[in-house]
Amino acid sequence: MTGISLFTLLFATSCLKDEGNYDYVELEDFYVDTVGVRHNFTVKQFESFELTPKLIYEGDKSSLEYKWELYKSEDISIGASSYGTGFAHNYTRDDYPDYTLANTEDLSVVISAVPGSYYLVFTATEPKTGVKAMMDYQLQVEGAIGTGLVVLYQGISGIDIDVVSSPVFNGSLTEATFARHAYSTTNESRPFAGEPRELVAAIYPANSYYYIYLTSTEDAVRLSSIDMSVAEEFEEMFAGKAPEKKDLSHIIVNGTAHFFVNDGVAYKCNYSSALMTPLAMRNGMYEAVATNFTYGGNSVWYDALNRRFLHSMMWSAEIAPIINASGAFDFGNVGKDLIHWSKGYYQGNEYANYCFFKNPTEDGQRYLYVFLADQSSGNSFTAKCAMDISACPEIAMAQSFATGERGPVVFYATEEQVYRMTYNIDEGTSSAESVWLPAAGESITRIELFKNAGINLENSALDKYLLVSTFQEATGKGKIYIIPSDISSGVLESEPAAVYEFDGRIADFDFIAQ
Amino acid sequence: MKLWIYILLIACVGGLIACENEKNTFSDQPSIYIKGDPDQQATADSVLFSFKKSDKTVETYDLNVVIYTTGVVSEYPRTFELEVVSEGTNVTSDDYSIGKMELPAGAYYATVPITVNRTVGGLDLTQEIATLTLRVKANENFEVGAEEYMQFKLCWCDYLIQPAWWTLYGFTSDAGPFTQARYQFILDYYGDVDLFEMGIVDPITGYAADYNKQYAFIAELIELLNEYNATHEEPYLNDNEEPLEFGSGLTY
Repeated sequence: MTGISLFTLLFATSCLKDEGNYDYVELEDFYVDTVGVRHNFTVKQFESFELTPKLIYEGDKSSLEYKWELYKSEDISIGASSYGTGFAHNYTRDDYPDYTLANTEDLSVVISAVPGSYYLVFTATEPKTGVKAMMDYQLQVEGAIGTGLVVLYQGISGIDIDVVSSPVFNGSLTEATFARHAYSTTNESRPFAGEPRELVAAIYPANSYYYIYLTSTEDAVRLSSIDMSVAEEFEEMFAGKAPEKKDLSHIIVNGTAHFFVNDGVAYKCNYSSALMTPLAMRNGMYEAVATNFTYGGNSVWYDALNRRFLHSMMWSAEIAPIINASGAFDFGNVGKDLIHWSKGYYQGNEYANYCFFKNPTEDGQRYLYVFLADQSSGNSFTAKCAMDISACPEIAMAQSFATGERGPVVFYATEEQVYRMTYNIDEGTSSAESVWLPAAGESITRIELFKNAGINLENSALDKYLLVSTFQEATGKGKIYIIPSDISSGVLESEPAAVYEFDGRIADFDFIAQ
Repeated sequence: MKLWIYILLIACVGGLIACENEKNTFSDQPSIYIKGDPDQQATADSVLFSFKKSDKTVETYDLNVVIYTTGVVSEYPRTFELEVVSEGTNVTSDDYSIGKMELPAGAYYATVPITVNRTVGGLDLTQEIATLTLRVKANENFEVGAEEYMQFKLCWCDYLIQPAWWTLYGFTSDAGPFTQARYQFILDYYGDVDLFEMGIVDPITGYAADYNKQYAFIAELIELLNEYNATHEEPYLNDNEEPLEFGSGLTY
């Protein structure tokens, strides 16, 4: 009965004439074309920025109202609400909606926003109808030292650092920019003595770690990655007494855990702070020369005194001989001198270690030892091979090594050329071929595969590039060749993606992103 | 009508209460009560002192008790009395002496030194604790004050007492359990350390304030012990006569 009543009601009203007094207007095309349009940009703070949106409108564009707004990317909680806000500009919640960069179709402004990630929003409004066409862009505002390749070199006037912000690694850049002599400019009254040794980024924003380790044969500091000023002197890095001798090397960073060697003593810090604690051996001695991290903040070290591997748990003040090990070699008695150690590839294992050795008495023989650390405990180890690689051409002359983590890729370099190894861990076979030569007059000083360490940037994939630094004695100039490399095979492209020049002999380089 | 009944009932109850005796007693006579000295880490009812941290030539030590008075201060000095509670005492009057029991003029408290001997008859203080329990006693000047502060226990020994920071999170498992030898080794090299004051252990949370600081401290102990053993014919021994160790996973 109810159903019939309802049907009757609908039937009765269905023929009523719509007597509304509104008009239907046919709109012209009005939108922002996004096809093939770049949507993210990077700009230095206080530099001008221009952008022209691809606005499609068949009418008179001069009749439109335009608005460019800059929003902070993060949701920042203000009071009971959560606003993407211009808080960096001292805007309050109330005046935030009025933060407008321009009211023109084309944007041309000086960006004063503090470094950070922003949404840049373009809005065009048809005033008669109120219809809007919008486009969101992402704008990364960088400080004087932004995201880029940090290069440590020995120049005529001493050790210095340049920072290259390169579109090769950062797709939001249109061209490379340089912050030259960043160390000496910022730390004018604090020259860095000795021969340059290592430069390692240790950036972990969640803990407010914005560090760059800078070391030489005589000095060591932590720099601020924001502006390259000295953030901590050597003596300030330690949880206990600072060592008397500055001899810092072999720095490894894994999130908040840092590891390094100073004067033969192993040091580490866990997440509590960045203060480094020495590792002591009960009833024994050691001389650490290199390290790598394993699962859960554990670490493994090489002891040059007894030519063996050692282990340290994350929650411990101690370093001890490895007892949980098996496989192709004896962790407690390697009997060789370590030349190079880095993470490598073994069937997707996250903790594959590649160690290059020579005999204690130099006889030109070289060895590649590969071992795995347990992926869940970090304190048991499996030796996969102890390979004699002496047959690889000029391996005894190799002064720099680079190992891939996404495929069986190993490069080594002499001063004259770069070789790529072909090897089989399970069969213990190896060979190598020359794959790159520097320009005439240049000698190779270092090679590294690009390690992005979690940097989420367009173009910056792990192992995607082989970086080769060279030095030309005649000009005193150093160069870095950025050569695209196949991540799984190590096949290099014939032309570098970029070549950058520096005022000295390059000792080390790393990548920073704020 | 009902209203009158209610008024009558309230009046009856009020009448009954009005005749009850006041049970609280107030008196013009001041009273006294006893506490320990906070500067000697006294707790509410006791204090524990070890001669072990003192030089071997030290034979006596003054443990303080503080006698507080209620009521107004006096223009004249007033004596008070303390008595020994035998149930909580295992020493004789030969093993201690009590200082002057007098509340100075104008004072509302007096600190009384109880001089205790390092050597106590019948007790081996390297293994046992000497205990003296004192109680305030009424006299012509004072009544006994608050019941919970009537008596106070003084304890002393000649072995190391486990510091509070040792048992808090991490130190035992990373450095080793408390033993006389292990603590003595720390005291030998660092003096009377306090990991709370050193910022190694957070006294509020009980966790390491910074584990890196704690590990640096332990690593230094291991190195010092290695150095000691390398420069002595006999290794530094633990309480069980086995060589001492510092580190994680130790059971003794």
